[in-house]
Formats: sequence, C-alpha cells, structure tokens
Amino acid sequence: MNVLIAFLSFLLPVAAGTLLVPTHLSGGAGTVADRGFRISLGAGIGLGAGSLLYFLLLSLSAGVSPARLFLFEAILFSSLAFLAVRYAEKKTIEALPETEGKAFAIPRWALRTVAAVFIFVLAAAILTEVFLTFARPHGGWDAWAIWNLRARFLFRGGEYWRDAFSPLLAEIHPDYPLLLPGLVARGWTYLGRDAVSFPAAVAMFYTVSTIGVLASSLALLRGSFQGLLAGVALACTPIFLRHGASQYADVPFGYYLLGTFALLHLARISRGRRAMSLAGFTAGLACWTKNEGVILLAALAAVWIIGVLASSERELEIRRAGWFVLGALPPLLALAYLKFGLAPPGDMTAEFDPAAAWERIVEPARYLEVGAAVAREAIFQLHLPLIAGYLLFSGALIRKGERGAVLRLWASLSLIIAAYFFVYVITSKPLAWHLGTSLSRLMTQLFPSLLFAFFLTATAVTVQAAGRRQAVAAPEPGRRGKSPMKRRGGR
Amino acid sequence: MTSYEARYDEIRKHLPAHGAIGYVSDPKEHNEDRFAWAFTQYSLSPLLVIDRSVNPKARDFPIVVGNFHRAIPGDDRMRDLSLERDFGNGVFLLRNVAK
Repeated sequence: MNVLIAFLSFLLPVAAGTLLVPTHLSGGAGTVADRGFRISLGAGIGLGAGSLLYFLLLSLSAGVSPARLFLFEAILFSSLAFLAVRYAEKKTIEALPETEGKAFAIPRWALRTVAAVFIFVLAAAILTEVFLTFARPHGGWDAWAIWNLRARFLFRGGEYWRDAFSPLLAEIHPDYPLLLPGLVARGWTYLGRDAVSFPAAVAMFYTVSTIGVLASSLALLRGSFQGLLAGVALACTPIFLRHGASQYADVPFGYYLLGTFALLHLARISRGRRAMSLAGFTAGLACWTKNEGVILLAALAAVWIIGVLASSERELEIRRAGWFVLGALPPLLALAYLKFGLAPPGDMTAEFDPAAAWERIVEPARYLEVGAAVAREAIFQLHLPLIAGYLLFSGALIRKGERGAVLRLWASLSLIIAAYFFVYVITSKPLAWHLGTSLSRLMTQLFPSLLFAFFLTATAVTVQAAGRRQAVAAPEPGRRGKSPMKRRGGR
Repeated sequence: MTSYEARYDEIRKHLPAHGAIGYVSDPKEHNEDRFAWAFTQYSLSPLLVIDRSVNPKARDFPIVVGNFHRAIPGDDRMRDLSLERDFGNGVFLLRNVAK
C-alpha cells in the first residue's frame, strides 16, 4: 500500500512535467531518444515543481495535510497537463535541425551492441544503487545531518516547521535550499510517516534520470551512438553512483544543471523562446537545490553579456533572456523568501573577511594544492583522460549552426569550474579538510554536463544505411582535430 | 542509524513536542562527538537539540538530553545539571537546576 501511495505521489507531477515539456520544445520525431528526453527531463521538472508547491503550501498555512496537498496538486498539475495536451494537439511537429558536415558511419550491429551495453550498464547501475542503499538506508552524513533532517522538520514540525531555519542550528546550514527536503517531506506527507525508503527512492530517481537526460539529449543532438556512449560513461562512474545513493543534493543539482544546458542548447539551435523559459525554470530549480545555483546563474549571465556584445541580434538575445528570467522566477522567488525571510545568513558569507581572503588569494601554494586535488579527482574518480582520449580519437567537429551554442556551453562550464576553484582558494576553512569533504561532490555535479559538452564537441556518429556503402567525405579544410578513424559522410 | 534512533524511543515521550533542549555528552574524539550530536538531532527532530559544549545559549535550556557512551563526565559539562531519569543505553534526561 505504501509503495502504491509513494508511486502515486510521484505520478502526478511526473505526468504533468512529461506532458508539459514537449509544449516548450520544437516538436520531435517521436523517436526513443525524443521520448526518453521528454520523460527523463519532464519527470524532474514536475518533481521540482512539486517541491515548490509543497513549500508554498507550508508558507501559506500551518502544516500540510495529505488531503489538502492532493487537492492543491491535483488541480494545478491536471490543469497544466490539460493545457499541455491541448497545446500539443495544435502543435505542428517540426524536426530538430538537420545534421550537416561530417560524421563517422558505423554499421547497425555496432549501434545494437552499444545499446545492449547501455541497457546492461544501466541495470547494473540501478542494482548498485539498491545495494548501496541497503548498506546505508539513511544515506551519508550530509543526508541525515542536513537534507533529510530538514525534511523531518518540515514534515514533523507542524506549525513549528520554521524551526528548521533556527540560527541555533547554524552548524548544519539552515540556509541551504529546499528542493530535496521539500520533495522528501511532500512524499512523507502522502505516506503519513517519515519512511526511510522515500528519500532513497528520490535519490535513485535523480541518479537514473541524469543518465536518461544525458543519453537522450545527446541522442537527439548527435545521434543514438553518441548518446548511448555518454550514458554508458556516466553509468560506469562509481563516484557518481556513490554520491547518487548517498541521498545528497549534488546529483539532483547536477541533473538540473544538465537539464539547463541541454535546454539552452536546444533553444539556441531552434531559436525557441519556450525552451528558454523551460531552461530558466530548470536553472531556477538548480538554485532551489543547492547554493551553487547562484554560480550557475552568474556564469550564464556573464556568457550571455559577452554574447550580446558580440551579437548582431541584440534585441533577439535580450528577448530570449527575458523568457529565461520569466521561467526562473518561481523557484527564485521561493529562494528569496527562504534566504531573506526565513534562514540566517550562510556560513560562507557570515565568515567572509576580505583582508584574510586577500592574503589567501596571493598565496601560490593554495592554487597548487587546489589544482592538484582537482587533477587527482578528474583523473582517478571521473576518468576524464578516457573521455579526452575519445575526443582525440574521434576528432572535434561541431556542427556549423551550433558552434556558438557549444562555445557558450564550454564558456559557462569553464566559469563554473573557475568559480569553484576560487572558492577553495579563498575559503576560511582548513583547505585540506574543505577539499576532502566537498571537492568530489562538486566535480560529480559538473560531470554529466562535462560529458554533454564533450560529446557535443566530438565528431558525430551515424549509422550506415542498410546495404549501402557511404562515400568517404573529405575533411573540411582548416579543421583541427582530425581523427585517425575513417571519416565518412553522415547521410 | 536505526538502532541509534531506537535508543531515543523512550526519552522522546518525556520531551516537549517542539522548541529547544540542551544536549550533553561525554568527551569523544572531535568527529565522533559531532556524529553523536548529529545522530541525536536527527533522531529527536523537530526538537532543536543544542550542544552545551558548542553553543553557550544551550546552558539556558531547562531540559537537557544526556548521551553518554563511556561514563558520565564529572567536568564543567555537567555544571548545574541534575539527573532526572536513566533510560538505559547511555541516554539520560537531565534538568538544568539553575533555571
């Protein structure tokens, strides 16, 4: 019975999100990749909206009963689903922009083999998550000391739910955003008890959905082979699976980060304003998940400003940014209320001393220590040299119409990495301790988006048409990163 | 964790439903100390469980939970505290006699 209630509490926002996402994107071809993208992203968008709604209900009343929550959600989500279905009926299906330029052609059996490997690895990843959850049902330290503890305050606190943000709890960061605690408390409200299994199910959902969004978005943009390969790379990364099962907020944050970049990419190549507003919403949900969301927004804004200055279509860029901001508003308003109306200032801002920070900025040893830790993490945990090796092997070839979008993606990611690096340089906490307790999580947040950027940059792979040999395409003059593989015409 | 939470099942019935209470424990290695306190906070939420050895404000709270793994300390940690009830497994209900 409990499993059924938990499932139903997932179903409403997941269904609404899945139905709503297509209305914000250029129509797809109805392929597996297309459906996979809409489901894996729509589900997370719906659940993020569920967390926001729960917080809104809590803020407007003293405690939330399951009946009131269901009534409120049923009205809102079914209205959204109805509008989505109505809109989808009228919508003209357009295909995603055509592939142009060169691509490797592989025989169909190679694609089938990679698809089989993907399914096997995905099943193994899910099993691994289950085993890790059985080993630590309450998750890691931060899960029960921060995220699930806050969920308990929201769920058990009744009219005193605001105690979760008491300055007396400064040690466990009462200023942290509430997407995960809100979502967990929402599920517990439906269940009627704080079941340990629910946050574990949420953690599993975000881990698997991140693999889904990565594989399906790349399959849409670069073909099934690239998408499946990226999915295999992510599902085979033990540190990603470990952080996924830990019930921390880093994998959900990485999910919304990836969703934002994927939607921004789709919006830029298709010039879709609705995709921009959806990208804004996922970026807002990233901010509603972790404080690092502010760094994401700052990086996107910096890249956008440079883009506008260099663009001949400034008016269009400003209009599209307006749609992005509009989409980001609901989660950002909730965050503003949390930060300025409920929670005390965060420890990083409260402890910030400009003079001491300057002393740390001019200390070269700190840069070396942070750099060495980042390199160790990238090599031994995320195995980035393997991915870079694939890029070298396949060669870099970005489609003509997407160069600006890919460049912006790399620029945004580079700025986020630089900001994380700098936070470690200036941190007032003992550096070795700070790196040891958080670097691995921060790198895990970025890893799905890094894979997305890597595979968008790599030469596309297409499947050979049955019984037809493809002509060997000549490399484009002046192109760097030619591959030792035989490059063939893509279509 | 589940068995750790079960240690607090009995004392929970004697604590207020909300608000702040004090927390005292025997000295442990630093990290172990924080683990023990965080476990207790997680187990007793939505009560605010404030460690007397970390936050001086906790010395103002009339009700205090004792979480002792080795022995009841005889040092400053126990100042103004009187033992009210022993719930077994190192869990004690204490009262702040200064309040």
